[in-house]
Amino acid sequence: MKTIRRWGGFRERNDVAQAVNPDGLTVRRGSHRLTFLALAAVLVGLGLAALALGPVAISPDRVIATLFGAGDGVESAIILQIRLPRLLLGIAVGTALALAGASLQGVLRNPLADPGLIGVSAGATVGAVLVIVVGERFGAGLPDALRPWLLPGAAFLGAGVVIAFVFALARRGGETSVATLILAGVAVNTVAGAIVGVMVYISDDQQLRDLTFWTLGALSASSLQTTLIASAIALLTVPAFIRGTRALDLFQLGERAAFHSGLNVERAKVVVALATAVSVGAVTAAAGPIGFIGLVAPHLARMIVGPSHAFILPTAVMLGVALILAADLAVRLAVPPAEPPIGLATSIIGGPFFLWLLIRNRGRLHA
Amino acid sequence: MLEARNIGLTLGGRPALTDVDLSLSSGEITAFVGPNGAGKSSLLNCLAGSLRPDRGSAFLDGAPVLNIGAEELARRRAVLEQEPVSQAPFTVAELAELSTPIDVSPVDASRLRHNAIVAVGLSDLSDRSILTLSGGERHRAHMARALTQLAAGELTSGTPGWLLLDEPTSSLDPRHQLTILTAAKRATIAGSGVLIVSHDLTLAANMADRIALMRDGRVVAFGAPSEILTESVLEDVYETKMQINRLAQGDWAVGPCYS
Repeated sequence: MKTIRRWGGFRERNDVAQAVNPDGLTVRRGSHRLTFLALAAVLVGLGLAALALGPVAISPDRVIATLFGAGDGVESAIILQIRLPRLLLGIAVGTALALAGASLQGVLRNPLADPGLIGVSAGATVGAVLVIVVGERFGAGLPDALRPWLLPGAAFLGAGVVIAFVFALARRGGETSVATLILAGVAVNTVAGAIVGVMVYISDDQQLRDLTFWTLGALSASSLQTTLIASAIALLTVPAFIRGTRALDLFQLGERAAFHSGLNVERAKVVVALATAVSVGAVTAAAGPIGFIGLVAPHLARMIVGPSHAFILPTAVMLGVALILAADLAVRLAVPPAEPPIGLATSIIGGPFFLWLLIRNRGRLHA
Repeated sequence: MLEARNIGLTLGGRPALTDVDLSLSSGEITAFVGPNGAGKSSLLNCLAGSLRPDRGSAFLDGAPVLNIGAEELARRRAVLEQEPVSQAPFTVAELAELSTPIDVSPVDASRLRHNAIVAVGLSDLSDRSILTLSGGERHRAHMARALTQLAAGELTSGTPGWLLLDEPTSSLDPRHQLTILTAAKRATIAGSGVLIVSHDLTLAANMADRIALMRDGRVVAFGAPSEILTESVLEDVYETKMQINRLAQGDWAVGPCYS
């Protein structure tokens, strides 16, 4: 007998009600408050750890003192100049990838969609890498005020072109084919890999150092300015995603039934595609392509809080940020003072998870 | 009034609808019947605004449906799709409320949803995930969703809407076929117009106020069952020997000849 356990889900229900059906199937419902509180506590802990731990360990009370302006010179420099921007970028990356992944999976009714898999991160990477290697030659005439925006701008363009391309290619008879979308993503990832390879080949030593993290991503490789700009852009797209929770619920009925239920389907898809291109473009510009968070976080969220996107999105964000911060701590503490790329840690978790999803969903890829 | 004016549509290189002119009245059940590929579902989707005809237009109360926004349209007509899909583990109650406009208060939405679930006979299963239900039960859960949307639309717009049902009974046992049809009948009494696409001629003859008989994308006959149902017309449309019987209590029995 199969048992389904879920917590909460319905808007007027806050009590913990339990319904046991004749065949023994149990649906447990109640508030998600406990889940949210637990995740929030984990996040606060990880956030403090992100500020405290590293090659120079700083005790939590000194961290808090420094945050309130009472730290000494070294502590202030480490926390405010290095670890705080890094924490901010981690939050932006986790948020952007989780929201983009959850929304893509919702729109496509398929748990295998992910900004990395369909090539959006690769498009952003190509945009950013082109700016790093050849941008200096063509961007020299640009006013100083616009220069910091060149990298996230190019990454957004790359991401936008890819998402428009793969969605257009996968559209068939009014519905979007996920199989085609993912295959298109494979092709885009291959081409993007080749372009990055060419850029690495023709780049000089300094550029090569800037480029290395583009293979696997890192939270610490960008300038403070780029980090702040990218994080701000990514966090500004949050309302666009959050406003779409009802649309994502309706997409679960199929695109035609979603329209019958009052959803402007094409506009909703454009909003998700645009928000994904902007947010994934921005965080990829600052942190490189970090894989699998957009796949793992929404999926775990769905397992914990059920099918309603009003709960999936916030839960996925908390899980995505937690995963990023944990992965960043892991690479920071693994072999100090060296620091393996964070993408290595997310791929070690994400790769097997993706395989497990494939096996679990055999036969559903055709949707 | 829900009308098709001169609708023509080609799907996959094949004419799906040709010169369809039809006008459906509120307060009635209209049935679309005809062989596979006759264009019944295509016509329903044109009337629902989810399929754009190549020629002509569908009109809802005089306005072209394609000019009415999705949100407004959803207040004025609810649709039960032929093969509703949902792989998400919503409960019956969650599913039933899914298509309800957001400006309906939670209290009203909950009440309308409850009524609809009772009407389709799923009260005992309302907390069950739809993925654990049988095909027929799941179909009824989607019917509850359409009924909730219809009632919510009437509540927010102040006028009864349209209920468009694409083969609502094909996966149901006789008892639940009647359950669904009774719910549809009740909607017409409340002032709504109901359109049913069906292969069940007996059902159409007994429940529909008007029948549109379709073949090869055209409406070949349209009128009350007693006006248009003759064995020769049916044999012409279905290209098979048909029989029409009136039973003692007045019920129709319409179908192919088996012997």
